[in-house]
Amino acid sequence: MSERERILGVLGQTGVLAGIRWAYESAARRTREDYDEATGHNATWVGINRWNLLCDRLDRVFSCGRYATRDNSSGTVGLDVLYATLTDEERATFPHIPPGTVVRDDLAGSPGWSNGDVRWLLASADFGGVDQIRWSRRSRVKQRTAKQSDPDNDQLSILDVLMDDPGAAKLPVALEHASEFDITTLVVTHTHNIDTNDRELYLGLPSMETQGKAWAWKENLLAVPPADGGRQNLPATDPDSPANVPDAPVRLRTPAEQAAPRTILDAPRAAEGL
Amino acid sequence: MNPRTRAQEVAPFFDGSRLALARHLAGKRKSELAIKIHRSPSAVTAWEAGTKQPTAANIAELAIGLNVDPWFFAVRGEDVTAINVAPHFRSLRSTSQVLRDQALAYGQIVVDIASAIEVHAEFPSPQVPEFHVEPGDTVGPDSAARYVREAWDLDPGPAGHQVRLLENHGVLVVFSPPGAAAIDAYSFAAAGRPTVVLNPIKKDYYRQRFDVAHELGHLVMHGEAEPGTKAIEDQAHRFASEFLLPAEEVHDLLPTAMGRSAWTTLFRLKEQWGVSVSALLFRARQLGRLSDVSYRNAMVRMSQQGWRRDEPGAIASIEQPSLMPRALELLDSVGITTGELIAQCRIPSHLFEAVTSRTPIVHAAGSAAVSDGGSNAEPADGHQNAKSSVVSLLRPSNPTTGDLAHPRE
Repeated sequence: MSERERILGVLGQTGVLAGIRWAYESAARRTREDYDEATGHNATWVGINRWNLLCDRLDRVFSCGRYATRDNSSGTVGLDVLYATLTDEERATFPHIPPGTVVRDDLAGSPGWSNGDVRWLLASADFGGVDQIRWSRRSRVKQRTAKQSDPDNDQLSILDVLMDDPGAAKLPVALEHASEFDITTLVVTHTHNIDTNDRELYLGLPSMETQGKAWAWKENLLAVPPADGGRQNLPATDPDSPANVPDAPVRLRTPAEQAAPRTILDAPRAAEGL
Repeated sequence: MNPRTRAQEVAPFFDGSRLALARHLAGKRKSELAIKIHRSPSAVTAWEAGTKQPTAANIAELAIGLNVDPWFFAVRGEDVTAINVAPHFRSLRSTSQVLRDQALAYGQIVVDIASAIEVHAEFPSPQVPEFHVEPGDTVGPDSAARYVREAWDLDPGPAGHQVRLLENHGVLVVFSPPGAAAIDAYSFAAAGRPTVVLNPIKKDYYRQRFDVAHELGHLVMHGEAEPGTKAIEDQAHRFASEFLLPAEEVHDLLPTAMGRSAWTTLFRLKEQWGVSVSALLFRARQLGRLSDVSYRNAMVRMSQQGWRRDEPGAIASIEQPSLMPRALELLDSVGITTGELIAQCRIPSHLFEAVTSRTPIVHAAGSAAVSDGGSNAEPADGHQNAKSSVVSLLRPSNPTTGDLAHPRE
């Protein structure tokens, strides 16, 4: 099994991939809904808004940030907070992933999340331009991410370099860069054409464009099964009334009062039934 | 008696508005219902508008399609279910029209049941003061809150049991039914009976109390206001803050800096006043006790501790309504059974139980997986094919316990 298959298998089984997809779709939907060119919104607004909303939705799905639960709390606490401003469809499909499955794992100021030995950062791109991302023009942390070795392909090429490169003295520096992350760090890249509503969402291992391509590998997350969501099985609330406050006053009407017409004048059949 | 026979009996009494009510409770658009019963959307429209009368066979199909007894569609002597004012929903943008229609229909059922009970029992008469506040008025909500506290003769200090306070002044308070948990608390005034419908998934005693005060603010201030706008919602929030935490009384109690002792103070105030620490922090900033920086830092700490979603507190149970459940107990003691009232209201028993329960009924409900589509989504453009995720309130969440309302069976 390749490293790529192992990572996708783990993230798929734990519901993480479906969670990322749900988060992205919610962020993209809301961004498009709020977008209004006549108000003055532009591409910058779209990018920043989608970015912020994606971070918010990922935190919701994975119970991180402001949506964190206390230690040992169940994932069903504070659902009203978790669901705030989501649409009914989003609430119905909300992927309930146990808190702690994914933790917030920012890297040098770049928002990140991790599950076990895999971290992912975010990178937006223009629609259709995912394969043309030039990591050398991105932030320093993204550049470092793109310099990681690809366990499925890179080992041989490094050895080849050792054998063939007369400047092999520089290799330790390159290896240091390649291995300076504590865990494998991937990138979730997202695009959205606000006019056509065309969207892309990939998880992958970026590679520097000097190698001729932007990705060592990438997986289309809009092709993974969507979150099946479902409302939670919630226990009934404790029936004990706070502070044992007495019931509000209710009084039986007298027969004379009941005989007086009020608001109910039933159809013949119901009257007959009673 | 089978549904077809009952449908024949109902046909002369068929009322299109009752069909619309049932459709809304079922969370269906006209086109969805039309597909289900193999008729055209225009036929459904005509039946609801009263421009055409359905045949007995149509009525039977509608009853089966919507999971109600055919008698649900029969005309009522007086349309007590009409709600002529728009309810105050908080998140209009995130609440679909279908869901709003469903929530409004549920409110109509609540009022209908209350009216049926009130034939036999007397509730406290409605005494919700009116204090009109113009949109954008940031001072009016404080004045309105003080006005209500005075009108209701509340002692200084914590405002006590919020649900009971409203009920004692004639406000119906009920929980949303299972399946409708996607909508926040909302309120409306109809048939002279103001009503607050609470979100059953909100299990936090402190935040629920704030919700109740928020909805009271709408009932007091916003009888004619455009529901759902940010200005209106902000005013209701401001009202709730002043109603539960009167500035004159809490100003000097709130911390001015966020040291260790400040957290101790806040959690003590939380228990004393029955308000979340989040709300207390917001109030402290609102009243100028905390700087913006201190407030932000405090909220970061709240997030780090997992308190924004799950705040620790001494009281684990929420406030519960009593008016209708107490009335049912009284009626039962004199031989008027729940079954008779259900028959009179002609609604499914599980819906009646949801309206008249002291505790929220929350459990699993069906959901629809939504593929929202996109350029590299498979299949493409799921928007057009996405199923509605709105759960029918006419179907019991637990099919083994629910049933149709059969007036004579």
